[in-house]
Amino acid sequence: MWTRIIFKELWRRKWGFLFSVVAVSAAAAVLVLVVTVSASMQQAFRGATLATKQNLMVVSADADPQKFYRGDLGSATMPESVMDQLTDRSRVVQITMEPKYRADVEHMEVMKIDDPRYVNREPVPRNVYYYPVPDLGSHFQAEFQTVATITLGGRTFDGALLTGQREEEGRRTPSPGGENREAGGEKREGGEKGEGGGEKKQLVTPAPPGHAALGKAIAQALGAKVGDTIEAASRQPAATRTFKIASIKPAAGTMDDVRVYAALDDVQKMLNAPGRINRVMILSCKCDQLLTSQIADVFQASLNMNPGGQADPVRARVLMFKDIADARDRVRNVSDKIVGVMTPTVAAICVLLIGGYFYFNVRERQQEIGVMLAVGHTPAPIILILLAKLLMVALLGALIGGVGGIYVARAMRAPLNLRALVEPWDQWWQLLVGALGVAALASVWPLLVAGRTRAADILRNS
Amino acid sequence: MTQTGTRAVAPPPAAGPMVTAENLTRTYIKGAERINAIDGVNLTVAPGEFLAINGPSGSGKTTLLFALAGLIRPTSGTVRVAGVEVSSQSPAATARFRAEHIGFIFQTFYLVPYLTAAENVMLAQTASGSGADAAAAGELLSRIGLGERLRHKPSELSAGEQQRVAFARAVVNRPPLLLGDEPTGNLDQKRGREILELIADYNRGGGTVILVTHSDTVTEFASRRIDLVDGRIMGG
Repeated sequence: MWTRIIFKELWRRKWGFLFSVVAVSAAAAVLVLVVTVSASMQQAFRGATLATKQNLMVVSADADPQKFYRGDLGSATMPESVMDQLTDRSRVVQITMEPKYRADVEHMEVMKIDDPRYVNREPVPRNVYYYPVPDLGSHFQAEFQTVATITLGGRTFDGALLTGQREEEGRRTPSPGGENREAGGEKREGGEKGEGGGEKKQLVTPAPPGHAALGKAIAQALGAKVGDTIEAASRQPAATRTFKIASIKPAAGTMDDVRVYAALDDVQKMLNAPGRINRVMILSCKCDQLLTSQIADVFQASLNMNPGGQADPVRARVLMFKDIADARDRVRNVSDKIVGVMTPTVAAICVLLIGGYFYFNVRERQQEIGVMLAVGHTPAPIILILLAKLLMVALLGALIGGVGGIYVARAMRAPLNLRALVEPWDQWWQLLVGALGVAALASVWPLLVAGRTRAADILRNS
Repeated sequence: MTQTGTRAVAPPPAAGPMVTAENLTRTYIKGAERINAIDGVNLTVAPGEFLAINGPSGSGKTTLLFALAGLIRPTSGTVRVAGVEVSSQSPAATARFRAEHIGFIFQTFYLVPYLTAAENVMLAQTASGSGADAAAAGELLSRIGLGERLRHKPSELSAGEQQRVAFARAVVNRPPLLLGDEPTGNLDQKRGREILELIADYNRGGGTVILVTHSDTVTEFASRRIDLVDGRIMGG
């Protein structure tokens, strides 16, 4: 009976209902359009950045870092050829992110510069940040690095980079230093994917527990040789900070020459920070300003090393990348602002439209409400049938507006495909929750009017 | 056509008075002025009685009727219907009580315009908690001569037919008390008499009836008549 009442009343006042649905749809479509175009602009810039082959990789935030390399995750978001280029490069610019921003991580980006003139002068991180990233088995992230003083037989090397590397699970550790891609820059061989196409070699080979692999510069300064035991300066017990030299790396002319590679667990124990990882080599976050400035700083530092700045193709590429990154950042900021203004504006318009429509609908139905009260209905079912219509307006409006907004965005040649828009279900949930929120706000005053209806007043005045 | 149409829906008489109003007063305040729409009304209506309350416009008839139905709360005094004090109940409790014990017909019918005749009757069924019963609604309407009009909307019915639908809506839950506010006021004499016949038939079946009216015709059907002047009962 209630369904019949709802739909018959709706049919009787169909034009008002249609008008309100169309109005809400238009408002929702505008919102979806703004969000969509904004997202498409950002995506377009991401694509443009990728197209520069500047080794910028974007991976979704919920990607499992452990699969990043082994599982070809990268191929899902970028061409395999670019992935190959990325992993074949010998240098990685590493950007350290403060822990407070970690929650904001939205995308992960790997940025590399393949010109050793810049990489060689990579600034040494002076601050050590600890990231509680549990259970990371990937060598790619499970890294722990600090600046340490290494001693051997009374000699010291101040400012060594003590780098803990985690051995990949289920994989036998090769001899230390034998396959350090980061330091050696060897080309990846064709068969590296291994069985099932999932396995690839690690970028850096960890040292076995209790052992260390020394960079050439440190080894030379200390006069170290394989089999010696070095000690790192630390407040922890001596047993946790002594390492037997397993290998000495060949000179690379990079920061690797001042690195000491050890097992991740050993380094963490030495610094009394078990389970903590300090370096993020894959990152991006909503905190654009911070990252942009950090990226800019890194590039600036690189550029400063080449003050002449003449016709240098590498520098030109770096500048291009920086320009793109800046432009992307500006686009994101502008679009975020537009969305930030449009969302409450559209919500307010919807509240007014739905609320106004609902209010006049309640006023129109006062006599009906009075009769229902007179024949013995309580206010509860009356309010429910009023709310049902309101919800239909809100949900239909959100649905039609959502689909319409996407359609218009496509018609405007926004560089997004429908699947990419429909698949992020959280957007639809947000729209749904938004519609319900708008409906709830819009219903307050009309429902108060309906709830306060006194049958006697209505029936007497009529 | 309608002489015996509604006897079956009338409930058996209850024990004790059906309606008791004691010292019933309803005061409206307009600015500094206090208006007693009804003023110290004492009234007892026995089960099975047909009471006509006459009076000029503004005499408080409708206010008294609404107070008896629990649609307005008296400023002072009490109203008991079938032994239950409706004047002190919560609005929701009064509504539930009204659904089962009180039928109401109005001068202007107050049918829901987008529902059919049968659905208007079913609207009252749902209020009683028994659920909509299309067959019962249809049967009742057929008994009062509207068997061919079940699917018609109010706008497709004559005034007399609309009031008959309103009557069916009022009695479909077999309430022991039927209240009417000028039920013939919008009808010509013939149609008015037909409605009164239905009401009288319901009364003969055991239902208690209280009608407020200007019409002398109503008093022909009533077993008792009282006059209300300036909110006070003057006779009866």
